[in-house]
Amino acid sequence: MIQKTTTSFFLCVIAVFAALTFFDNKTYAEEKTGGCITSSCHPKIVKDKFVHGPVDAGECIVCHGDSQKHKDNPAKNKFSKIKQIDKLCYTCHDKFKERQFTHAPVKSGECTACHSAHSSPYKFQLVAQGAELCFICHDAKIVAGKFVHGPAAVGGCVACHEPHTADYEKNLKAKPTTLCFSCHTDQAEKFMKAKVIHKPVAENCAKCHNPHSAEKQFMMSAEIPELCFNCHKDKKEWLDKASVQHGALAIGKKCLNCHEPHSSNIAKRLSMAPLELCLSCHDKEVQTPDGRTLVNMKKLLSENKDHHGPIKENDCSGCHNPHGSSNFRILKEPYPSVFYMSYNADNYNLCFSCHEKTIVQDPQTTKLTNFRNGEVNLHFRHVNKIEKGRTCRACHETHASNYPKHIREAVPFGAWELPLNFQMTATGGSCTPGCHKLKKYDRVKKEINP
Amino acid sequence: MIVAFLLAALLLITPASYAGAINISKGETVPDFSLKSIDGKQVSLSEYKGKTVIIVYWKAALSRSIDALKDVREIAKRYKEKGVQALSLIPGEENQEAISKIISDNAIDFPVLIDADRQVYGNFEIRVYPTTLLIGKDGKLAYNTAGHAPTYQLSLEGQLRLLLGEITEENLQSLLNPQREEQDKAAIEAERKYNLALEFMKNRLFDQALDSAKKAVEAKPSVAKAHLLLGFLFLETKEADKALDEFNKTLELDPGSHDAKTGQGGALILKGELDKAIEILTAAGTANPYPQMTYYELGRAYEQKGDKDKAAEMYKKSIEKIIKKQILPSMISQCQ
Repeated sequence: MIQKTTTSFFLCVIAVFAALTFFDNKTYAEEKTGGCITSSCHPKIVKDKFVHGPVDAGECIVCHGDSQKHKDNPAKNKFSKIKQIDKLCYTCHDKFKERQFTHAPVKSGECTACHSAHSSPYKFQLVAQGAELCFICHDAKIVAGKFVHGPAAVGGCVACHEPHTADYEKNLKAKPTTLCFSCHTDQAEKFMKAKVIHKPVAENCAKCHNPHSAEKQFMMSAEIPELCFNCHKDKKEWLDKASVQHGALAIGKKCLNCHEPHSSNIAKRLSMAPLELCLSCHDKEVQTPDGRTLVNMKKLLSENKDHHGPIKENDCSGCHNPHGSSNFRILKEPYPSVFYMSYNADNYNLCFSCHEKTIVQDPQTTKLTNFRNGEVNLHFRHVNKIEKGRTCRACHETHASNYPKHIREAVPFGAWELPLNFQMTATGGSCTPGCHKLKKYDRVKKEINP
Repeated sequence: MIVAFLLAALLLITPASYAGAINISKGETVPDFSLKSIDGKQVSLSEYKGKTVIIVYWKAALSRSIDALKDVREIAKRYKEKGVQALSLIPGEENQEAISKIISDNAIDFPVLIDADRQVYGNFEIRVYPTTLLIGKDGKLAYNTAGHAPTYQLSLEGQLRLLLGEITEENLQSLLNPQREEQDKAAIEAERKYNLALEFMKNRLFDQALDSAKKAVEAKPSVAKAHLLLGFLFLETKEADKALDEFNKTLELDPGSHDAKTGQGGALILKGELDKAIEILTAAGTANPYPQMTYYELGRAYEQKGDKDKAAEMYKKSIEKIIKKQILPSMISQCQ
């Protein structure tokens, strides 16, 4: 229906203009001018295709008044200059509706700055064609960039700007984003459907795109990520301080590898569901600039079925800062990278950003954890030691394993992988023989381990 | 052998037992609890039977807990009329002043219950802050999530809408797993140039309109409306053969286009083939729901043929169609 309506609209427009063109083609009748225009007097006044109505009708006196003296002795009796051009124009033409913004020549009443009073080779008797007219006053450099906006490229400034008066700044025909959407209907459709919209898209596309021309593709006013950092200063500051940046920021589309620039249905305007997005790169081993090899995470997760909570929630950003960090593996907070460490709560800030700190601080518990022998808190027993305190990684795989609670199959001990042989029962479990000989635990009936 | 079998069986069944963030499985009735709220009232989960309940178990010092609280506040507000009630629980040792400040700063308008001796924390085996539960009117667990992922609000609201019967499981999955849309860049470029050409036409800038319409056709030659527009613009520049060519292409792509048939008529008038034009335009006018332009062209054809009566009749019909609002009212003023 919309297409039909649009088509009907331009058919109507054509019908009206077809009739107007009929009048454009009228030939000038010299005798109509009462002798003002002859081969020796004012011969160039009507030389061009588009002729002002009164001239065409031979009504020179409408604007210039009747001057018999001029006719009798033109050299001595020159026409006086018309003082208020706009006032004269408005005797025939409707005055433009007063709006908040008025084009300077209209404001100063200089209609003839743009329109020839007599005739012109250009429609509406403009004194130049397309953008050339605008560039009489405005700097042509604005369209000199490598990438030029479609309307500007064909000299169609009026596709966006009202030449007389407008309700919007810079004489725009509509509010900036609305104006852009009149051609960029694909973006408008996405915008209407999207849950998360980039603020500049709602406010003004020109915050990122130069509406005339630019040296960057898509007429962006700067390269990414600098363009993004113009507003997201906190991210720049963060990354400047971070010792490790996410590799995604340095390759391909940089910020746009993960974020949609306009709108998305996912928070942070992510282009895909979070885990899926991460695995779209981490579906293979990744070499880091410092020569390390990151595991093929997609393979690891598919081969190991018990996933750490954030992974279950598709939230890699639960632990990793997706931009960068000064913690190893771009973790959000400190987390020990070693097997043994004297217990200090600050070393486990990452874990404690979700888990209860007292899980490794209370020696006795009945509520905090199921890893207890009677009321003896075995998390406390393993971790909270000055000497040889085991870090979380001693027992848990951080991403996934095939054991409950993503317990490791084996722990690295030098070159040796010590098997844990973790077994779980309804009320407890056991480990053997890796770090210690067989030890059992039971929450209901406390095990006595030799 | 028996022991090995039992151990293997245990390993097989254990992952399912640890699938959720808590020890209550989806579809199980959530055990009742009765706790004192921060403002001293005794509140039980069972009081809310018959309502859809969202519970968020949180901790003041953790920012993701506050983020979850704010999301739950918004969701509960949006679905209040549909019988959705939010509750939040905090561990007993939390600093009451800090809690009160968070509640006030974030306009949390639902009960905050104090899990004084971690009764709920322990019984539900909550291990992560925040942990969120969605409970149906029947008191059964519909969904639970641990932490505050970027998709927290989307997921929780999606699950709630599923529970309320507003969306299907399929809808939910497509909501939670949006795929990057494959963009037909050529179609997008064609659409943009077509729209720009229309804009130029409104401004009576036919040269620029022609240029943009040509680019629209070049960008994606299978867009019928771009050919149609280009055809009419060629009529403006009196290039009848080119116009006819574009109208023919339009009809190849969209055989039912009344406008293309009208355009064909216009091009044939320009070529002086008046009888053929009248034949095509008469057929187009009969079937066209918006035939004002078709009748106008018919009027021109008859006028050029010298049949003034018939021409007048057609021009009159053209105007009548406008007056009878057989085009959309918003277009009439522009046509007049």
